[in-house]
Amino acid sequence: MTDDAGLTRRQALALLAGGGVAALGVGALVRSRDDDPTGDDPAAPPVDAADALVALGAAVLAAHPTLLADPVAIDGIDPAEVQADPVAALVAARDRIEADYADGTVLDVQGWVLSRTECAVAALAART
Amino acid sequence: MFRDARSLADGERLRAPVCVIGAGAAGITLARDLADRGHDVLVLESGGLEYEDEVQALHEMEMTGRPFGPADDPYPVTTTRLRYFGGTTNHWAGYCRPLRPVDLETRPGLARSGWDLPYDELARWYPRATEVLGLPSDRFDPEHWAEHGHGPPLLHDDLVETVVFQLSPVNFGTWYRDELDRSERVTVLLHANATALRTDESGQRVTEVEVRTLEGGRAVVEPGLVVLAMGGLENPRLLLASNERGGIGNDHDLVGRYFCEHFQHTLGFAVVARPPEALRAYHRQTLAVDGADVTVQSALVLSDDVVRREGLLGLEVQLAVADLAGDDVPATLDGPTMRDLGAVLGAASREGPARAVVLCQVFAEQELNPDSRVHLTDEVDALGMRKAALHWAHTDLDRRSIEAGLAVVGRALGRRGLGRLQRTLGNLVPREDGAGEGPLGRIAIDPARATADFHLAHGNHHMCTTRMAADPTQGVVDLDLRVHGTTNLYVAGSSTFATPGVAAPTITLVALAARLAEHLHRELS
Repeated sequence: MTDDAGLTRRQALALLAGGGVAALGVGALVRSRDDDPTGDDPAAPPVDAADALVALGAAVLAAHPTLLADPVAIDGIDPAEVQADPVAALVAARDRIEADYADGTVLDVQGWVLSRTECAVAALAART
Repeated sequence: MFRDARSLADGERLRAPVCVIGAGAAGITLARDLADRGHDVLVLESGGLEYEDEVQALHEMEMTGRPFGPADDPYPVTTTRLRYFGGTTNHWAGYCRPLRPVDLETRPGLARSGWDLPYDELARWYPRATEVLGLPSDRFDPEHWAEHGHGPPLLHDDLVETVVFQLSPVNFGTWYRDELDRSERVTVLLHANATALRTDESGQRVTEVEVRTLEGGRAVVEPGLVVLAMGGLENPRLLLASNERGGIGNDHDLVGRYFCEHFQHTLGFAVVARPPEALRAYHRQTLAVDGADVTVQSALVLSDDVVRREGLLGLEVQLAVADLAGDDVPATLDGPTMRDLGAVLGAASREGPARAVVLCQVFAEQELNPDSRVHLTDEVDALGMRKAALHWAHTDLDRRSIEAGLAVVGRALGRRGLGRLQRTLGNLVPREDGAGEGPLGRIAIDPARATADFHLAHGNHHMCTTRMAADPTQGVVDLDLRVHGTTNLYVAGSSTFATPGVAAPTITLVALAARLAEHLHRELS
C-alpha cells in the first residue's frame, strides 16, 4: 500500500514517528523525476528530494548570489557533507532550520519564505 | 407594514418619531429593536421588494483612483450594492466573525488607528447580533467548534491563530419581510428616496427629510430622530448633498473621507505536510448544533502580539486546499516548483513531505487615508440629486503589511515543520497548458512579473466614511453614532467604523445598530 506521495505505509509511519529521512534512504521517500519523462506533467508525483534541493539551490543563488560568502549563513554546514548527501545534510540541520523560522532568519526566494540555513544547504547542493 | 411612496399625495407630510433611511442589515435591525421597545419607526427604502434597474441606477457613481475588480477588467463599485428592501444582504455571502480587541486598539506608529469606543462596549452587543443573524452561537473560537466536529486548526499559536466564521443564513429582505409586514410599529415606505435633509437655522437639528420618487412624487418627513443607514457610499453622499454649506456634519471636511475596503486577493500558496482531509476546517463545513445546522469555516489571522509588535495592519488568510499530487497544482514558469518545495520539506522537517497545497486568499485591513474618499460631482441623478464619486486610494503600508503578514504565516508554518509558503504578490498568470480544473484554478506563477505594485482587489465592504470618534476633528459621528454638531441625526452601518479591522463587517454593524437602538430608546424615553 502506498500513500499519495509514493511512500509505503511502513515508510510513512517511520517518517511520522521521527525515524528520520536519513534512516530510510531519502531517495526512497519520493518518486523520481524519471517517473515523468517529460518533466512537465502538472500531475506528476513529487520529485526526488535531492533534485528538488538542487533546483531550489539554483534559485537561491540567483536571488542571493553572496549567500555562501556570508560566514554566519554557512557556519556549521560542511560543504563536503552536503556534496556527499545533500538531503542528509538538510536532515541534520532541522533544528537550526526551525530556529531560523522562529526568530525570523528567513530569505525570499521567488516569493518563498525560507530559512536561511535551508537556503544555504540548497545553495551548496546546487553549487556542487 | 409596507407602504409605497408612489401612493402618497404629492407634497404629503409625514411625521415620524424615528425616521430610518435605508432598509438593509443596519436599518432593519434598528427598526425591529426600536419597535420591540415600543417605538414607532418609519423606514424609507429607495427600492421595492425586488430588484429594479431604474432604482439601482440611482446608485451609479464615477470611479477614480484604484479600480475595483481585476486590474484588466474593473467593474463599477455600485454593482457591489443592492438598492431594495434587504439591501446588500440580498446577495451577501453571510460570513460572520466579530472584530477582536486588537482591531480596536491604537497601534504605535499607525496614524488614526484605534477606536474610542471600548471593546467591551462593542462586545456586549455581539450576542444580540448573532440572534439577528440567525447564528446558533456567539462563539467563534476553534476550541468551541472542535467540540462540534469542526476540524483541528493547522496553526494556533503566538504568531498565527485560527478563527472560525459562522455563515449567516439571513437575507434580511426575505427573513424579516413577513415580520415587518405584520408590524404595527414599523412602517416601511418603499420607493421612497431621501434626497436631502433640511435643518433648522442653527444647522443642528434636522427638521425635514425630503423624499422623492422616480415618478416625480414629492413628500416630506418631519422626524423626531433621523438615522442614516444606507451604506458606506450613500451615507456620506446624503450628508454632503444636504445643505449649501458643504454638507451636514462636515465642519472638519471629514464626511466621505477615509473610505476603506478589505483587500481580498489570492496572494500566496503553501505546501503543507498534512493531507487535504486534515485541513477540512478551512473549508466550509455544515455542523449540527442543538438540532440546527450551521455552516462554519476557519481562517488564519495574525496573532494579537504580531499585530502589536510589528505595527502591521490586520491580515486574515482563507485557505483553498487541494492534493499536492493532484492535477490542479499551479505550475511555476521558472525555478523550483511546489512539488520541489514539498520534497525539500520532507527532509527539512519531522512532519514529512508535503501532502497538500493551499491557496492563500488574503483578506486585509486598509490604512485610513484621507485621500481615499467619497465626494460629490456636478452631475445629478434621475431625482436631481448630485451624484457621488469614489476615489479609492491605497498606501505603501497596505502592501507592505500584506507582504510582511504573509511572511509571518510562512514563518509559523516553517517553525513547526508544517509547510513552506510562497508569496505570489502580483505573480499569478493564466495557466497556458490548459490543466488545473480543480479548486486552485487555471493559474500559474510567473516569478518574472513585477511585484512592487501588486494589484489589490476588494472585498465589497465599504467602511469608515462617517467614522466614529469622540473628537469632532477626528470623526463624523460621536460614540453614540450621533453626527457631531447635531442633536437628532445619527448614522448606522459600517461607515461609522473608526477603522476597518480585519473581519467581515456585517456582524459588527448589526451589533452597533442594536446598541444604537438602545441609545435611541433612552433618548425617546
